[in-house]
Amino acid sequence: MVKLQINEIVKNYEVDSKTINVLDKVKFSINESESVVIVGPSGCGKTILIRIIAGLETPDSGEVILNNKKISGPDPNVMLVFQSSSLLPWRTVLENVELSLLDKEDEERRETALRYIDLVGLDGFEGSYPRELSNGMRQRVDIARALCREPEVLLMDEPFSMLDPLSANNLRNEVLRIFMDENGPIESMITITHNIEEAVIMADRILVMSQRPSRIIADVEVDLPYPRNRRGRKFNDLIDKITSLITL
Amino acid sequence: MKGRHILIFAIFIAIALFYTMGEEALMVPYYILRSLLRMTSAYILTLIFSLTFGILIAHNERAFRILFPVMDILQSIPVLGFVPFAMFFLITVFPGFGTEIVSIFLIFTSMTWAVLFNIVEGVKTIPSYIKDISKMNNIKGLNYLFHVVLPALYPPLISGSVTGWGGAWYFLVVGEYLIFADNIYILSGIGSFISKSAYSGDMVLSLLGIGVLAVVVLSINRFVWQPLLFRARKYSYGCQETYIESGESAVLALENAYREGVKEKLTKSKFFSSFFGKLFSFLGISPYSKIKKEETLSLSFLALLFIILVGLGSFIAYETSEFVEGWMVLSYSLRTIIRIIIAYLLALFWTLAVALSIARNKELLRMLMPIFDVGQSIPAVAVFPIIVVIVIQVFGGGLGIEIASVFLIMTGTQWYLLFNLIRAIRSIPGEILDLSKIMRLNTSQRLRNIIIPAIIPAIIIGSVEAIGGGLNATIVSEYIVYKDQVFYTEGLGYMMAEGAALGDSTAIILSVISMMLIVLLVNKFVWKRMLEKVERYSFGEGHG
Repeated sequence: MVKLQINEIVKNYEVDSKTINVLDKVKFSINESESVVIVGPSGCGKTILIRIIAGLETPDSGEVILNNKKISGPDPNVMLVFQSSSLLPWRTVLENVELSLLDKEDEERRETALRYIDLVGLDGFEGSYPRELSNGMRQRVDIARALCREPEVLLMDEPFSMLDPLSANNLRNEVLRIFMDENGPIESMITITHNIEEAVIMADRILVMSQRPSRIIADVEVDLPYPRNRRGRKFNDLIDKITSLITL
Repeated sequence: MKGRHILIFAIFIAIALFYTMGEEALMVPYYILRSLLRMTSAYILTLIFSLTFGILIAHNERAFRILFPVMDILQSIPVLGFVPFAMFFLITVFPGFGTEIVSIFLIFTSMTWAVLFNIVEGVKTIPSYIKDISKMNNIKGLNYLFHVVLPALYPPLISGSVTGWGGAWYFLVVGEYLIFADNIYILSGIGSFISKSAYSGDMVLSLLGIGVLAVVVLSINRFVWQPLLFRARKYSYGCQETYIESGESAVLALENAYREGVKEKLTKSKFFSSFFGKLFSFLGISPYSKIKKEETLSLSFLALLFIILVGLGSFIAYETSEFVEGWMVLSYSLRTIIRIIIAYLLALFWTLAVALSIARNKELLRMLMPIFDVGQSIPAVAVFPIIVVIVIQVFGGGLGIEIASVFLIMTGTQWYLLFNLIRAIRSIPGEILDLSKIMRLNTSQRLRNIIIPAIIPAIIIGSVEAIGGGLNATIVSEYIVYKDQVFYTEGLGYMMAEGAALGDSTAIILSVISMMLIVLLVNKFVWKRMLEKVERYSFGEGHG
């Protein structure tokens, strides 16, 4: 079942009265319960692409189709986790997560928020303020806040790039665990990264973007069982393959 | 505002001037020149004073501990409160050109604090890695000053100068038309041109004068400050957030380039570190100095000292002054405070409404900003007589002057608030606003949960300045001369102005001290507490 379709998206930017073509007819689709990772060289427009999918930017042409319906603007079934933590500093962890659930009744809101704080491993920190937390913990709050809406599609824009390798690894495994859980909140997931190893760890499919004007130049299936063995030969072959595709 | 708009405006004003004044209009450039000379002299003084003291205070712990609170208190003195004292001393000491010095001094006191405190802040926010590099390369003294401190100070110096210079126009207008002990001292300049015309009842001429002033202010903003501000970005440690393209390496690259640059410059010029180098090291200007703010002299102690002084002063006052009597100081203070609170609330109300509706709308902001710029650049004092006449005609004498003075005080408070609020709303991180879009918050949810909390610190900081500015405005708002007629309403400002007019130093001293007390107490017991409470509201880095 196709969950999300990206149809010939074009996006241009005006810089110093010159038009730069950033996205040139980007086209791909994502199936239900699929984790797709998009990789590409710096400045190829990965972030713009994911912002368009999240409904934060409008493409110059092309469309985003969720469950066979065109979406324009932010959709409740699509949530984005930003590269750096975007918590409100004056709210506690719990209050930050609750911000996602303003339309719910008080009791349900609290209960849901606490459940997701627990899910990302922050049990006991619900009363802390963001500045009392480490980068990794803050990013966990962001993820909890996105998850508690139970979005059909979770978008993540380099979610672990601001973390140290160890915390990144932990959090990545945590997110994968939640994603793999049959009863878990996430159906499909799109992650942007420039870390190729991360892509191979997380993806069912890896989409490779070209330099500007960007399009999808490769769609690589990752046919390895989770959790993936980083020392395996297949794993490393894939890394080499993706690397050569990017530097093409 | 573009250069050619200013030019068109200027030509229009010039034609109107020739039409109304004839050949006398040729004097206007001379007035402009005199006024600019005054402003420039004051600015040079400001530079010397605030650079010397700013760098010293920020680097030398002992100097900081003693001088910072003192300057904080001096800052709380309403600028116009200095005038009578300055008049008294300087006119006696330099009979010929004393008033000229008074007016420059007045402008200087209005400019200098913004620059000084910006510089202190600038020195303290030099990133620690720059200090570490300086230490590793053994850079101190004069080298450290020239290659690290001064370049780092360029942006805060310029932005402080813009604020200080902008505020000083207000006092230029006052400073060119001084009233002291039954005498009126008029210095030729554009400010006195406006005041003279207004006080003699020639509204057209005073409006034209205001137009001339607006042209001057706008041209200086456009052709001096704007290029300097633009240049200052090069020296700024903070990097503009390149959010859309998430320019991961841009910040790093810039920092590296700066580090390399500093290192290279620093290691090359060793011969400097002779006498001056040692002097500056001796004064403590080196990357090694560290200062904590908490260690300053206790403000409450100083405030207590002032309360005692006021007590003493009042005691003496009853004996010596013909003007001050009974509970006058207290009742006047209360009246002034109430007036300021009303003016402040009105100003807060409209600025908040305007800032919220335009700050995030680029088109609207681009359209309205020039209007606000002109509005702010016209010193409110210049239009006072006009406002007073209109209000009194509408509401009659008693109520009219009361309304007029609240309105005039507002002119001294609203711009601080407006610009602070707009800046704060605009600096809410993009992610946070995107977040509210993704969560599809409606307008009221967004205001309540995100925007208002995010700008609370700015509201408080703007309020500190607004109350100070309002207090300053009382001096010219509670006592207004128009067509040889004095309109007044009782309050501290009136007390000071009347004291100056009568040459009654007790009244002046008492009113100045009461104003200082109000500022200090409000800062300590209201704003400081509130700021501590909302400390966590700012979008800063937590500890990683």
